[in-house]
Amino acid sequence: MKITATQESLLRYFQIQQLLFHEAQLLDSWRLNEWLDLFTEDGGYFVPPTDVSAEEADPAKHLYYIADNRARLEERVIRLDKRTCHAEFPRSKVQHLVSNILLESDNGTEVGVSAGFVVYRTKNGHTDTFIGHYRYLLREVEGELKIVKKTCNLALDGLRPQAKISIIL
Amino acid sequence: MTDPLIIDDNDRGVFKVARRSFTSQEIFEQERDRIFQNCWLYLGHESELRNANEFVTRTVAGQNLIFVRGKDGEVRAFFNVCPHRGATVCREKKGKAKSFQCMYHGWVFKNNGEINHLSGEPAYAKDFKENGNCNLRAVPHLDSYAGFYFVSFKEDIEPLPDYLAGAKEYLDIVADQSSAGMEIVGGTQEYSIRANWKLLVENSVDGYHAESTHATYLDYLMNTNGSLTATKLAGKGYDLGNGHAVIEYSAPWGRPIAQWIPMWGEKGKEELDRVYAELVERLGEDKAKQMATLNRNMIIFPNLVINDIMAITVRTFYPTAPDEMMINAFALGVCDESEWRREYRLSNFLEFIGPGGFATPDDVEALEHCQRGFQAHANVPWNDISKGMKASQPSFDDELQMRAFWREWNRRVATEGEK
Repeated sequence: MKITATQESLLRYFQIQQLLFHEAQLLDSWRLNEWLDLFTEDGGYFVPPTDVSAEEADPAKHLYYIADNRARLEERVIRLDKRTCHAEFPRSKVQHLVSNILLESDNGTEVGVSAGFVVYRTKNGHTDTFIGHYRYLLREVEGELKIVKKTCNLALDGLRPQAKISIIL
Repeated sequence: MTDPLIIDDNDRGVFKVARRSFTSQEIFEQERDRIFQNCWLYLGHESELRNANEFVTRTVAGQNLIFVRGKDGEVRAFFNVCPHRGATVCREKKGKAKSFQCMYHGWVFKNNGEINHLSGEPAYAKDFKENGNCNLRAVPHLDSYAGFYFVSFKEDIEPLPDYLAGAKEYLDIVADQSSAGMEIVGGTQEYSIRANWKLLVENSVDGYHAESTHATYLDYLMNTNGSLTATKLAGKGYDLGNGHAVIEYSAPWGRPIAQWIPMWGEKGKEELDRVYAELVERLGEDKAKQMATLNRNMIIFPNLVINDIMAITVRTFYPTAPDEMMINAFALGVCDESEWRREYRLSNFLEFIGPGGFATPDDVEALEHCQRGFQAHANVPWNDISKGMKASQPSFDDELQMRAFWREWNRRVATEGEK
């Protein structure tokens, strides 16, 4: 990879970094409807299985942990705000750490980004840690970067001891 | 005399289970010796080893196994343990291999288990390799029914078909859904729960908890346009013998075998109509209707769950401590289904089942909180499993299926004084 740092790419990088950090803050403070607004109308959110390689994984062919199109993503947010979402009532404490942000492709409208994450979830006296890397496809919509696709590739051997992904990674 | 672990009082219609069954280290060890060492346990599905030399490594009740189709086409299961010093021989999850080499001292085994290369052989006695001394140790028994492979660690055990008893009929209903056969879809949900394994047995066949535990899932179905039929939740529970049990019931959600919902569109309807017509032709109207429209949650004693609901999940689990279990869950699909149907099958699966679904996380929360509650077992000692005990034909949301499991569990675990 050839590293270039034009003024334009630096501005783009800043824009991406702000988006990712803003997203992490919204998730940590449970402002999920605002988080949903970061997605395009055709946006999706995916967590592939840990025993299929990230390159090979396909939600139409493999059993994922999460494969939400926009409609189900909206339902996920509705669910997470309910008292009857027992796994998250009372709500857990969440802290996202986002790092290693890399601008991988940019054709002016669509931007490919990868980043590393560590997400801590604490509830009932247990702290569970989710580790992995994000892949984002972003799109510029009316001058604003929106998320078209967010994939969370876990760098874990399954969900032991996390048991579940009841928060948003 | 030790206190009983269950109270089974048919006259009063009361069935109770002692909460120390979920917390005691001693009972955990008894389960390991008396149940997991003495029963047929699920290993894998035939579709995972389609071709010669394919293998999968798995942990069954805590023991590491290699499940492999040999060069000769034969399916075998070995302890994934070097006969020399005990190191894990194959450290990959799956793949293709004609032989396996132990990394520690370099012993090489053919995929039929025989020693192929004994490094430093001249230094060993001439007859050292004889009598299978250097071969991978095969599990005492491996057998399959309807494509599902089971192992037994016990030498002297009844044949698998006898063990499965009435569960065979329900395994057939899952296996016969297509003349092309069934297959495990790639990708495993591997997770653990901080709760006793028997809580997941109960939960997997619990028709009573849905309305409360899964309120958000039912809300979701109601909110989503076209994801429901007018079918009511209704059905029955059956004791299948030997600790196996099933609940069978109608439900409003779509089933990718052949219960169509409006969301799947006209094209989807045409396809599922074709599927249904084929089922009727092959199996007759009654069987086809049962297969297509009824849901089944089945427990095969002790630790296999096959739930043929809005999708089919095959789930197996084992305890690592009284308050911790490991779970592997797979999706089962029809071999020759269209891309469309496979996609909806997986989508249906994820909506409800698994660590990221709209339902399983709430089950996990419930189970973990039961485990916490059981810490008070000295003061609040009994779980109640009495629902529907006086009914002539218990409903799917009664608890007959759990009582069937618990009676067999008690028969195997409790010593004479405790029964």
